[in-house]
Amino acid sequence: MQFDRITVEVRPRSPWEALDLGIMMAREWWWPLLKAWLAVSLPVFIVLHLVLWNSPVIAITLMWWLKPLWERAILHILSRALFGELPSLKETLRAFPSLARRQWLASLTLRRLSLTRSMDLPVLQLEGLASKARSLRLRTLHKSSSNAAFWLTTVAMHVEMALYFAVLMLVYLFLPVGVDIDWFQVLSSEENALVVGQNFLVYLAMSLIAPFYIACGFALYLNRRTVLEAWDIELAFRRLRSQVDQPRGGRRTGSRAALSIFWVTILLAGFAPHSPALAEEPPVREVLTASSAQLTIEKITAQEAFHQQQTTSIPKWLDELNLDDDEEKPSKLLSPWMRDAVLFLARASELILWLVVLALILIFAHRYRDWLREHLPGAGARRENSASEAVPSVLFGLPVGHDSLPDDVIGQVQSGWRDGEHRAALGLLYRATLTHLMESHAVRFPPSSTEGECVALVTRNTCHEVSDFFSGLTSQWVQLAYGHRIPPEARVEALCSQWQHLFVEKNREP
Amino acid sequence: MLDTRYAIETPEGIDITLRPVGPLPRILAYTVDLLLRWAVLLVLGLFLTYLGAFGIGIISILYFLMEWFYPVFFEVYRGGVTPGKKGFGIRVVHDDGTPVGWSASLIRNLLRAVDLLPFAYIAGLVSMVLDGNFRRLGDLAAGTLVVYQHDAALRLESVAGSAAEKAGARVLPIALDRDGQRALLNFADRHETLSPQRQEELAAILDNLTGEQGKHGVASLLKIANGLKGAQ
Repeated sequence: MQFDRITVEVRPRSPWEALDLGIMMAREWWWPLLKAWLAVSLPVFIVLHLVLWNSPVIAITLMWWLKPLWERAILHILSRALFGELPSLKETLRAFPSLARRQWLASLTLRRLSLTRSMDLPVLQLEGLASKARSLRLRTLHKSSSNAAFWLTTVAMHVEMALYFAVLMLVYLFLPVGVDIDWFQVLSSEENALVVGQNFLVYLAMSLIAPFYIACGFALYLNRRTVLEAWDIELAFRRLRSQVDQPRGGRRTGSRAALSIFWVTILLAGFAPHSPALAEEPPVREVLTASSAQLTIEKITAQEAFHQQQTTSIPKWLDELNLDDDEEKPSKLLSPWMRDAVLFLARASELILWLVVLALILIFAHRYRDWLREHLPGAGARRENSASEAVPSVLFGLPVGHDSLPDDVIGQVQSGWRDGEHRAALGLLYRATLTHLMESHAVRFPPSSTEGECVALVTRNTCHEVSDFFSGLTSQWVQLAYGHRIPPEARVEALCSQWQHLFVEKNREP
Repeated sequence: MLDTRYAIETPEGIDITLRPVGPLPRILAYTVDLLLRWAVLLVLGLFLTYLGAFGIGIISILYFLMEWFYPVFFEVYRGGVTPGKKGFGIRVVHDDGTPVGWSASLIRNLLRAVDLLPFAYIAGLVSMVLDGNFRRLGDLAAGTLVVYQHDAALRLESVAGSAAEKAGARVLPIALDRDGQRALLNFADRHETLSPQRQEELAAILDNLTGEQGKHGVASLLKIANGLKGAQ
């Protein structure tokens, strides 16, 4: 056995963990195992079914019965792959006849129904033991692992069946609604083609399980031997031996001085246990001061493990263009005038980009000037000043301001109302009111405000009388303007006289 | 190296190894749990059927709760160990090694609905075999692992004989690394489970360390091991 080339971590495991390792082994070498299994068993499956076309049940039973023979091909591959020499399919096939011949009769008769088959196979096939020696060996191996081997066979058997039904179930699940199949009839049918199809499914399930089954059994066997023969210790000792040998290996290449030092070391080492002087010498304690500790810390943190090094690669031409150190490293790639052009381009782009940033800031400031005016500090002061600002001539699309109003507002409103031009009349009254509110009461309506917001603004900024009037007028105006509901004439008269009172007579008083 | 270990590195740089449990012990543990649930339902059912339709209603509700929340209950309140898992010395943990919590447990158990497709948990089995850490789909979704609780190797070493300690002590001839020292201690602990021939065979490998053959080689290896343990 080439122990140093073993491809599996050797350590004593519980039988259950050994089974897990078997799963990993079957996974690792899955395709070679499956190929070998198919290569030796699929031809037989086909031949058996052709010969026994009329009794397929016997054919599949024979396939099942011959399983121990097919399994030997799998174990052959596993036992080689374990030590790093995965055999090719051709090699396996060449070895198969002699593998199959070994104790074939016993395997197919007496031991066929043994529930620890997977674990016993290596004893037969790899150790080549027979009769008495074999049973003695098995007794040793079985002592703690036969339980797991038994459960392995039991579970594998059930999973094989479950796989078969799972495939049928999968087909069933994918059938469209409305397709009705009498499953009982299908499964119990006597028709040969159907039975052969089922046999193939059974064979497929067998093929999927077999590599795992044999690998798990092999792993159980390996684990038992690992425990019994301390394989892990042997491996560790071999490593240790080469470690012990290492100083001796250095002797040839070393100088004379090294040689003598080596012998002195060996001599000292040999005498050490017997030499009281050496044994009783108290160990030298290093005195640790803050500064020496600091030094040690720095030395340790300077080691490679505490640094992260990163290698970044950039294209060569890009490196040539590196603008930071172009003074020191004249470019080899570009001629001077090209370099100047590139530099000019770079500078120009930089300037353009800055201009774009500036323009964006300006556009932003302009776009949101109103919002900025309201929210920037000092906005309150500006709002105070707004009284002195010019009164706009258009508000919400309505012309306002004294220029747009006739001298005798009320007269025109009343005559307009009488002529039936209700909208124009009430509109004039509304505009005149807005104008007066802006001029004599210094109310500023933002261009975006609705009628309701205007009322709220007026309520906040003027006296009770004015705001009452304005809210009354607004509700009439809104009803007329949007709802096309003409207010009663008396109401309009009242508004007119109120207006007269509030805006004309009051203005004259002072 | 092919192995079934799962290593986690903590922020402190400590490696913790978990050993995920493969399909076989898990199938068996599940079967134990299943039989246990059925037994409980059967016993309760015997009494509840006397109550007629009401009793059957209660059984149905119990069946539903047991089917879906039996594993959740044990995983959350019993440290990830259902009765079946306890029998095999295995438990459920988060894949960072911490005890499994409500959300992970609920997810991994509700996803049994997917794992049991198309028949008898075949989807879960395929997922376990393909994953490499033996996680079924529910485990992958919930971020959980099923691991062994105890180390088989530890139990082996505790068999260690006291005879070895009577052999006397000897100082290690040359400096050895930790693995080497551990191998020597391992040999001392387990040498009684090996045949005398095998002991001598193993000791012969290290004759360049002990300088002795046969029985004396074994004895001096034991002495060195005792020296490592601190005996005088």
